[in-house]
Amino acid sequence: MSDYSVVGKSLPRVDAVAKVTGAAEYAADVKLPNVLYGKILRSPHAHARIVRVDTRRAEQLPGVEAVITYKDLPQPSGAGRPIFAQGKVRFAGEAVAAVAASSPEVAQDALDLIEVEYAVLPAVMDPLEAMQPGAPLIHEELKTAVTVDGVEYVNISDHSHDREGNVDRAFARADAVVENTFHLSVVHQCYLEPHAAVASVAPTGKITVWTTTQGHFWTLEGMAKILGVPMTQINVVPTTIGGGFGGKCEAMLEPIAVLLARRAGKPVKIVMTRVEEMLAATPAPRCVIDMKSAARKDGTLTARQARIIWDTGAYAGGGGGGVDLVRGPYRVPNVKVEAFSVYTNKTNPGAYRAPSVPQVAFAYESQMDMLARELGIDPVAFRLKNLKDNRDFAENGKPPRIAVAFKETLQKAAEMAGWGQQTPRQRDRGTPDRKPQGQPSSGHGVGSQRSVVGVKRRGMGVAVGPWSNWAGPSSCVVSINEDGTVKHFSGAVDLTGSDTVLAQIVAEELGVPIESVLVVTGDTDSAPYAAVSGGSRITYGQGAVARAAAREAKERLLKLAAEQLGVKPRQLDTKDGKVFVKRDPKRSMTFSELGRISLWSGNGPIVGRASIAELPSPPVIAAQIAEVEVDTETGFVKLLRLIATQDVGFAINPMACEGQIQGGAVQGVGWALYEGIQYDNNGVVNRSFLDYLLPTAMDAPPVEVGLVELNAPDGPFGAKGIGEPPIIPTLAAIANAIADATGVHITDLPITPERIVTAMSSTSARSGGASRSPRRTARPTGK
Amino acid sequence: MTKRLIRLTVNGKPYDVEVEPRERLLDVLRYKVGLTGTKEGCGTGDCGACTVLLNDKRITSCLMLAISAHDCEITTVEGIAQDGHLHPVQKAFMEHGGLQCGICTPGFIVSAYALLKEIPHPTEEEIRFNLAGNLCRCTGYVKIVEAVKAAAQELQGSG
Repeated sequence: MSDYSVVGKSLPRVDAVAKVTGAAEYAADVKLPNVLYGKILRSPHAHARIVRVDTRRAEQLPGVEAVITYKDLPQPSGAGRPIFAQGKVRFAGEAVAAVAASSPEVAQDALDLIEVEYAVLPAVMDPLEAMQPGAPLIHEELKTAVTVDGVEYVNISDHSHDREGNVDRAFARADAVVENTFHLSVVHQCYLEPHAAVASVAPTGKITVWTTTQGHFWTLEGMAKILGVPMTQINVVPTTIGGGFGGKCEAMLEPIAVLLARRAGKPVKIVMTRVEEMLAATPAPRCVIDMKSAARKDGTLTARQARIIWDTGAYAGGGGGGVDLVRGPYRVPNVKVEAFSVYTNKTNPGAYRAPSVPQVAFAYESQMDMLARELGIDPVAFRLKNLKDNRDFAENGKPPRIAVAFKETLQKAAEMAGWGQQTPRQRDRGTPDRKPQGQPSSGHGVGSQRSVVGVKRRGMGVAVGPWSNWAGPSSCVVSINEDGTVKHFSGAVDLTGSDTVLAQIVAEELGVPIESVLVVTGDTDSAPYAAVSGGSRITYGQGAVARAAAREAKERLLKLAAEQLGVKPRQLDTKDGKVFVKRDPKRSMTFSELGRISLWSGNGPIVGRASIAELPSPPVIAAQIAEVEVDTETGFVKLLRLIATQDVGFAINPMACEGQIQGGAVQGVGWALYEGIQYDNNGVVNRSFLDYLLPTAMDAPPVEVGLVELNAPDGPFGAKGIGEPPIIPTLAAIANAIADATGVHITDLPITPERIVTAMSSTSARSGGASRSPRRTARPTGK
Repeated sequence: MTKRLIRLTVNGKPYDVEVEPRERLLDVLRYKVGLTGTKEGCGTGDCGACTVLLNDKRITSCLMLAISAHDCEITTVEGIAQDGHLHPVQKAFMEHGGLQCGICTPGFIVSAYALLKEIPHPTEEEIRFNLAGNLCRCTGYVKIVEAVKAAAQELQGSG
């Protein structure tokens, strides 16, 4: 594989110069003449009927050019979240009206002049309370009551169950059973660029929108539905995107900007504030997971049962609960799962990096450690024994068309971490005052990496994370210019460095330096369709069509060159921007010569095209090992290091792969230790980064990355999707490391110092030592 | 609202701009001076995306009123490269993968540029401490720290 000259290399991003100089244009940077600034009036109440809206005073304020309310929406927007609250607000922060004015300051003044009379209704924030009959109904107009096993629940947006085998029999026969309830908070993607959109409406009615989106074709589809116009009447231009992580997939601001621009007859820019982001974007859902897992003495997993309550907020959003979600990457013959999505008075959730999987994996990966401890088996060995391998994917006796390094990825993490070889303290030669632990104390079984110095305790924890990347509808065009440079044209948004990877793929396939390749993302008026940049799909799906289109362009180039040189195409190859005769490399023509000739002869300009609906979506695996130091007096957790391995198939750009993995893991650090939106009955309590804590450079650990490269049969050059998996193992790896260090297993996220201290003091008061697998070690402090 | 005429020297060029007293320096730089390289991530001084130098000191421009910056010298990300040549800090961020989505990058570039003037040979601890006012959601900071280390070496070599 080292024969490649462009792929497999850690090249700088193609957009790097624009980004380090401030020249990259994001949606909020779009400059249009006579642009107005839009602002949105949002409900201060979590649940209220809108009695009256009076916009007259706002309209009269000098500088105000348009005011709209929910009554101006051209048609009801269907079952999902409406652009404006429809007669009733269902969460604090829901949009009620909007203004456009000559400056952001005047727009803000105008919002203060809009009078809204609300009839406040009782609100419900906790999904467990919201399910109970008698709770305030979020959607009286929908049938949200369900009866399950004779018990009635209300505010149910979705209910599902799924099973395989017989869990009851397996639990009865098991040697070890653990059962816990896990609580996970709402966490926000916290892309650092807030949502922003600029809309302009021509006298013809043609709409142009510049917006920060992970997929402008999805934005187009959503806008066309909401505005009730054909897709040809809207052109969506994707700007450089300042992070998305799943949170920028749907039309949200764009229709409001369009309605304001239409009314004002001038372009309108809306940029959300961070407070609006915390109140009204689409974060990851809160969930409560009751899980029970069982194994036999020999370390064979036998059963898993789960009941998952997803908090879907005011409108249908996140959730899910199939057997494969709770089974994870293991062989578990008996699985039973029941899932509810429950309406509450919060903003509705959206996708966040590997939607639903980090939450559920946190639960089962925590229980994998608890079971290993009960059985006296090393946690890595226990996982290796139960991880699937490729043979498990054989269908109808045919060999599976997948190649996934399930076990090697975990083994590599264990090797890099020095798992089982020495305690962290032994590695830390700078601190000689080690007090060795004789026997593992209660709560620390085989495989413990625990050490104690004074009030500081260190431990290591491991977890794996499964994912299945997507390819999705993908298409592109590769063409060769008269000067020998190459253009890759598609509708794919560069969310994570994919333009660089696509340039590398095209350059490699055609035999040109990467500097010769221009990667262009067209707007919806011009570009061929591409699905949203999500599901870890761009390198895999768009990469596959980029390679295929480049190959087609190359075939046409070789055919033209063959005619010119009087040889057969198969006698030719390309390198360094030249087509040459393989047996006589001196006989060659440059891409530039051929590009020029192609305009006037043969089959015309050289263009390669490719288009796919889907590729097989094979599993992907990541593993992580966290090493922590816990101050048992304060509960403060210092992350000493994080080892992150992942089977990436083939690293087209190893530096970019490492960056994705490090970034994903540190988002996982935030989820595990710091992040959580807290609510009271008036909505979000922590509305800024001052009290919604993201990891800083001081908090983030060094993340050592190990790339495993088992080529994917269908990925370009063997590449797999890599963006989402690295956040999945982090939550449990950290929780397991804290359990290793302290003997208490925290089952609620984030694992705050308060939760650790509370859990440690309650277990020592109860038993005089660390508890094994406490069913509940801490209660959430948030409401 | 009354407007005042203020003078800002931005990246060495003087600008006379009319501002309302309530306008933030960030907005004036972006929308009146026309330099949109400086970004807004939070508006509360927590994320550092709007970091600029005010008389050579790092500030978050979302927390300063433009009128308070009257007669001050301001350096934004657009002023870091000189005569079309990227600064070693910018080159190091490119070469070491210290940027991804790029929205925090202008703040980090300005911040790291100032850091290396204050502490030419920072330890990893000093780098992490001095950049803790800049949030990044994409990189996990690992490659940013590597980039700043590399830039320090490069500056040492050239200086």
